[in-house]
Amino acid sequence: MSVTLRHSHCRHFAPVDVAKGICLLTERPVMIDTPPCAEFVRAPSCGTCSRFRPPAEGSLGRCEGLPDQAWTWPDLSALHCEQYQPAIPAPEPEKETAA
Amino acid sequence: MADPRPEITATPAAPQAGTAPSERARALRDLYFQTLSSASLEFPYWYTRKYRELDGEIPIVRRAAALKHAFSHLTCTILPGEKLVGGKTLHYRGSFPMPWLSEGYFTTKAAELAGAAAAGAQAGGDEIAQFGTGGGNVTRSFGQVVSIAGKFGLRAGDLPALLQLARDWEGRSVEDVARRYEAKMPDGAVKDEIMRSLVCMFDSGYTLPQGREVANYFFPLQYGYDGLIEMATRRRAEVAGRADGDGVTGMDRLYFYDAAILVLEGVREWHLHYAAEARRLAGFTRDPACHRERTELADRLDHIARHPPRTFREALQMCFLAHIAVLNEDAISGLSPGRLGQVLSPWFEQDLAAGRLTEDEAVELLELYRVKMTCIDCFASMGVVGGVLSGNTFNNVSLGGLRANGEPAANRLEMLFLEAGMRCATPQPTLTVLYEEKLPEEFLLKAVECTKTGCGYPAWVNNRNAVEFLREQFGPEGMTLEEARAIAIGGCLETSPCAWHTLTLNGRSYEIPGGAGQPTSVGVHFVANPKVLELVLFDGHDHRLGRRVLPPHGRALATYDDLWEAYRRYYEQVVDVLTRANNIQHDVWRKQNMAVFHSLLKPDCLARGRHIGHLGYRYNATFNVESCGQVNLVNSLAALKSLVYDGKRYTLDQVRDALRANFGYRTAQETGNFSMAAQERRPDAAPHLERLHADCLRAPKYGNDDPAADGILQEYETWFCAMCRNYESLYAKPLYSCQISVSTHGAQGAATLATPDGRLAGTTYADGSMSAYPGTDRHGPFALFTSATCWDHTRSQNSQLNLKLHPGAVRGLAGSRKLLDLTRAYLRQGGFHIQYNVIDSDVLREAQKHPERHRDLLVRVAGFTQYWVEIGKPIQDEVIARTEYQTL
Repeated sequence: MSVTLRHSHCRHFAPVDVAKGICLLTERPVMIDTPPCAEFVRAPSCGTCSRFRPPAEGSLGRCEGLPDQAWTWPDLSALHCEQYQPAIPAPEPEKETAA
Repeated sequence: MADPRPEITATPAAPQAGTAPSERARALRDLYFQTLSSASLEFPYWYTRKYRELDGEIPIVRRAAALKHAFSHLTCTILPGEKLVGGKTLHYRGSFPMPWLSEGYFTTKAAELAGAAAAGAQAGGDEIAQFGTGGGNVTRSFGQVVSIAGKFGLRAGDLPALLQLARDWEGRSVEDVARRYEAKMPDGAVKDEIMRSLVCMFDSGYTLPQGREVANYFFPLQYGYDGLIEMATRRRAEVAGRADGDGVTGMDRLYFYDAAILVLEGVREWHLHYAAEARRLAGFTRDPACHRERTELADRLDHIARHPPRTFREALQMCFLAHIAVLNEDAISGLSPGRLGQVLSPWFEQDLAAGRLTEDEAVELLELYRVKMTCIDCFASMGVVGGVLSGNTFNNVSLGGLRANGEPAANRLEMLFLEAGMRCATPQPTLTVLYEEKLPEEFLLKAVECTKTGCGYPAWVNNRNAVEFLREQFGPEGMTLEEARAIAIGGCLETSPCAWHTLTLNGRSYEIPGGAGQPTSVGVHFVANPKVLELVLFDGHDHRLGRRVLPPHGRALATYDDLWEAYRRYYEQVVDVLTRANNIQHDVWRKQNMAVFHSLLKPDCLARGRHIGHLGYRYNATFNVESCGQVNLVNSLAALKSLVYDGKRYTLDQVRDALRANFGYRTAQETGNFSMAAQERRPDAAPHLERLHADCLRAPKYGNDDPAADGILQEYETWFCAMCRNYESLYAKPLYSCQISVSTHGAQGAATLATPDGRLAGTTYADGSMSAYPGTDRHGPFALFTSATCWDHTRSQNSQLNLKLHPGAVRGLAGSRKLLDLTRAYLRQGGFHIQYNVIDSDVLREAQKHPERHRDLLVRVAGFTQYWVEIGKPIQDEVIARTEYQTL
């Protein structure tokens, strides 16, 4: 499942709203839908978990980490998920300086 | 017990009034101005997942486990510069839907939302440049953001999850279950027509089941969350398997304590996640001072996650997070912190004495508190959030009032609340002075200075009236005079029952007040009085919709008494069916969606082992009938009496025809203007309509000390306040009168034909309940006061009077004294509430033309202050049109 990396995927990103946040490295505002910089660190989410099963079609996948095997989706934060296991190595971001 | 709180005048001079907020508060408020109202799904996702997993569990335990799961999975964001942290979601101005309450909107709009997401994905991202224009409301989709209900932004990638969550709750939400049972009422279809026609516009049971009440922070402040868990654990062991004489709910205590423990554990973990995030942030900075600040923040959060607060900073942080936790548990609008300056005074006083805090630091913390409270959003339908609430959340801090022993309660910290409100003007928390003659002049003048800044607060409430109302309403539940004096305002203007608690801090004891009653946002809300009159005149038919709303009354309306009788019978029919429907909604709510965390915060749930739905609160007679547009009703009845029944200048049919023809004018919807200030006659309008309209406008009007109108108001109030008590809430308590409009005078006005007082179709009603209709109070404020106080305000939970003053009318110290005298004059006459917009109407007109230049402009609407750019045009037009007093 291909993923276009965004600032909101980065652990250094503090969300402000659905369009923007603040980079904790620079403490400057960044727009979510812009490519992250070279300091990018992938934040845990269902989409990066080894227990996530992507959908055959549609947008919702399945979590096999918890007993209920419930539906979930790739962008859901897994920061506090007790069964999170990182699976996908962070793709190499575009080389840009910190925003 | 000697009260150790310092006298107001015994402390150092206040920081210079009226100056700007601290740099930190300014930066965070500026960030708010640039922030979009954002919805996210973490909370509803984790809640739903656990809830589904526990099928078959005891309902309250199932819900509590779901709440714990949701709290403990929330992403906790802390932004650089924040000293006071926390929020409903990961976003700065975040909220989330609660499909377990109501999911219908999402399932019916699924295709539309999906289409918006697809279209938005193709739109240019440059639309983001419009941030700030029109405030933070996401009124349309753009880029990867979908607009929900014209208010909330949602990431397009989250939309499938939102729709799946809605499907998960379809048929099982409070709304869906309640609707099934509402339909079993023999006149359930009449209720639906009443809602469709906007005779009433608020089903509280599944939109905002709680609110307009006063929070209570005493238990966590006194015992800490670890202490509360220990207490609940001990009580659980004591009651397990025992009915103790209560064969209905005695056994339920076991499940309540079990649920309380679960929720407390979830809230504690949520605190600890904030602490961890603060510590992580400390690692990002190389500045030693910043590192120390973040580490201290983490230490504070770690401490209050388990223990009672030791300092003012910790106590304020704990109150704020407890407030947010209550708001995350249920959809609530109008959860007021109450007399927070009196609640926090023990820590403030001891910190000052110990040198741990300065007044400047306290003011900055209160400024930051203002910004954080303003970031609170409430996710509900557009009709509720926009039409009823104007996007406001009504977190009202009350100041002044009396102590239990009758002494004035105003204190030094409350002076700083006013100072912070002046320096850092924001909509939240709004402020209310509980006026008593005994309050120090210095305190009252400080409050006047705050009002004069144009921020719209504080409101002024007659404490004596409130105490009298509370004793009458809650006396049967055991309320004493001393307890009634704990009163605070919940929401805009709702007199709310509270209680005193003895708090101990470092060996000293303090009596602090806190909320002790059920929500008052519940019951029959809001009945459009002019719309009921319209139905009377047209025999139950709504001409706007072309539908029958009520069965025909079949009366000829040959006399004024016949008209008035028909009005009362229709009104009572409306209140009766709405009360029963509302009772069903709230009964489903208490069975499926009961408050757990909120319950345990208020007396006497923890002691009794009962949640709110089992009458665990000390005071439960809080359901009410809320009216809207009563001044237009009074003026309309006065016009009909004068022109049709007494003067016999026109027949009722002639008036009916004129109303249907809108007196020959275009409607507000056609012109886009929603006040009487800018309306257009149709070129082909019949001349007699103009004459009839002029006569209607000249008929007696409320607000001029004219017995012809005031007598009708008096008769109406005597009937209305008594009538409400004829209906019974699901808790078997009598309803009572509530008389504020919030913003419904805009929405319900839009659904009402022209009225016999000369108001045109679709324009707003008069705001509040005691405000004159714009432009009709022609004899000055004292004549208005005499009209407004022709009835006994203590018979109602509230009444509401807004005045607009030109800044020149209150300039200087002499102007301040005039404003205080004006306020006193009204309250001494027996008025319940008065508030002021001190603003030049030309500024408002300019702001309507160029909203982008006025992002921070605040106006008082009806019991609340809101950013001008975030209120709808009908209410903007109405505020502009209000009578502006140039002199006093």
